[in-house]
Amino acid sequence: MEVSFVQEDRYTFRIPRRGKMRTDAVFFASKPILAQLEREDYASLVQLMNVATLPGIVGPALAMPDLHWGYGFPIGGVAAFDPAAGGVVSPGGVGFDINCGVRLLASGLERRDLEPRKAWLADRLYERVPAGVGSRRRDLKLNRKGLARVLAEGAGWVVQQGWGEPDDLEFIESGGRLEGADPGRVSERAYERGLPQLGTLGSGNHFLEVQYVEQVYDPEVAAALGLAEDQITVLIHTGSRGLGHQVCQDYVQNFLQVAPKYGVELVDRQLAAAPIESPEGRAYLGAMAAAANYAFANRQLITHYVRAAFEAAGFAPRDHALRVVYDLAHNNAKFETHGGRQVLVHRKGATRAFGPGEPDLPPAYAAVGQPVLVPGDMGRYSYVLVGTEGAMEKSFGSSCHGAGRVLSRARSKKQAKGRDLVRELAEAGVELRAVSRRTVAEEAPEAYKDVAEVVRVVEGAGLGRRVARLRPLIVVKG
Amino acid sequence: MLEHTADVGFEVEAGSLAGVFEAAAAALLHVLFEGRLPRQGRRGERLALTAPDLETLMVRWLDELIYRVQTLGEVPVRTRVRLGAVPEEQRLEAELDLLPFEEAHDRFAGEVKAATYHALEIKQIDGRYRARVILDV
Repeated sequence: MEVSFVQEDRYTFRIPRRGKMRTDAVFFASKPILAQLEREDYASLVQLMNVATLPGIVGPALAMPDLHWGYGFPIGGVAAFDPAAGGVVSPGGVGFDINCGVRLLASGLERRDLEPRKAWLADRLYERVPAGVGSRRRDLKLNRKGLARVLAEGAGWVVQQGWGEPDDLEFIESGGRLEGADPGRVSERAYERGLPQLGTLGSGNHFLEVQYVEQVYDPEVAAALGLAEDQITVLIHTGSRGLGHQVCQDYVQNFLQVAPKYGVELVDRQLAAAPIESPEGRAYLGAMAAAANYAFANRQLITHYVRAAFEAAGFAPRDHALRVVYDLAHNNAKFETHGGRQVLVHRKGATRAFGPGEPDLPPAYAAVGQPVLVPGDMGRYSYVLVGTEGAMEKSFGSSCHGAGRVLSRARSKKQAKGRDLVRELAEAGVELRAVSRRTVAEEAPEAYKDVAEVVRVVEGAGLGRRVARLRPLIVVKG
Repeated sequence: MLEHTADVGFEVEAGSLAGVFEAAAAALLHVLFEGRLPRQGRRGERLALTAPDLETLMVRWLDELIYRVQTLGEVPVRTRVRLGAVPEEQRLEAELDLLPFEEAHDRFAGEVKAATYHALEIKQIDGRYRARVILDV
């Protein structure tokens, strides 16, 4: 498909509505990012144009600067739908890994406290945070009834079991529990897949990083978030594991069957959709919220394991003092009010980025805006941003979720052949512990855009504001 | 293997439609594991799936195998597929040679989330069958 776009300002590009598109598509990019999009034959922009064909879409179909070719929606895609105008919900617009997201912990330690025990801590984290298939969770026996409570209650259930602090919940998007979760809409197979995996990291691009605050750009906001230079932080990236994958599979297939009944024409079957206000749409939203709660609980339980690992490495709780800075999702669909009307905002590989004074912010952050956590690759750095009024105006309060890949996994593996990436990273000061050598090769730093460029565009487009840059010291991968 | 920025794709070809499903299973194992796996399993099992069309049958087939490996800990090192169709339904029957996951654990390369419908295609060209699948990893 031919793709043509016009540049509206330095970082904003518009694809005018044509063909089956119901609205325009808008994406945020710079020259280097445009060059990367061209290298994948604008596949991600074609996917964005496909999103614009879905019924009930409000405003343009949007893509953040980390956009790249995914399935159904592009990665980095944001689209809002009006339930009152026949708007649809699309499981492909949320993704298989429902409520995949990142959580940032801040510690009471500084880099100099950690350096002498870095390798020791890396081993303790690798031991205590199970990766997934083939690894065993140590201290949690969960039955179906318990899992149903996880799906209904989210991170709060984990804290009730004593695996976390009540304060943790205040700093999780939506308090760690999405409203409307309906565990009865989750299939038995999804339960079966979810039971052994709560508290596991998973593989692929999921990770656990211990970092230090390398640079503070905005001292006032950093202080509000409790971040200061040289401070040790921990970033956890994982989602709803097999349970979420199964929910997505179940409902994509269901929606493919019912879409014709509702007159939803699909230009890509992975965009299977049903009206929000249909029985099928409501059922998916109930199951999706349940899977989202599983993901919140998963990151909460991993936080517990991280605290235990720090203690096993000789850091007493009063010294490591690990607390949640924020936990936010980058694969979900949420009801929000924008422009005076309630819409369902899909974010796939995109994060919420609410500006100061918006609802659902912890009181401590009300004046500075919502923290936006942007992981980079394992060799470079990650960023902490805050949401802005600009994001509220331009992108339904959304921003980027990461660096975005530039190399396919096959190409990354090919380029890494013959190299000892573990040693290269160690020489750069990063202790890497990984289950799979192939994952390490596929996730090599050069497989990703330089996240600094993505963040530069986000800031230039007014979708977020830089607060701090975090540099990895320990990386654990499944 | 196909170039895909975020995920993993493959194209397989065989002389029969059933052969394409068997080749897709082998390609999935190639994504899930590094190096060669034994061709003989420890035990056999039969499996039957239905779907309204061939593409959905392919997605269900691969998703079923992903579930077997990642949840049940059973690696289908060899598959023998038979296909049939009745009005408005495609049917797959398979015999699986299953190896316990523990015996392949050291070669496990990472999880696959699901098979997607994006760019999914099954077609016949010059008497041979070809399928293209993109997996979410």
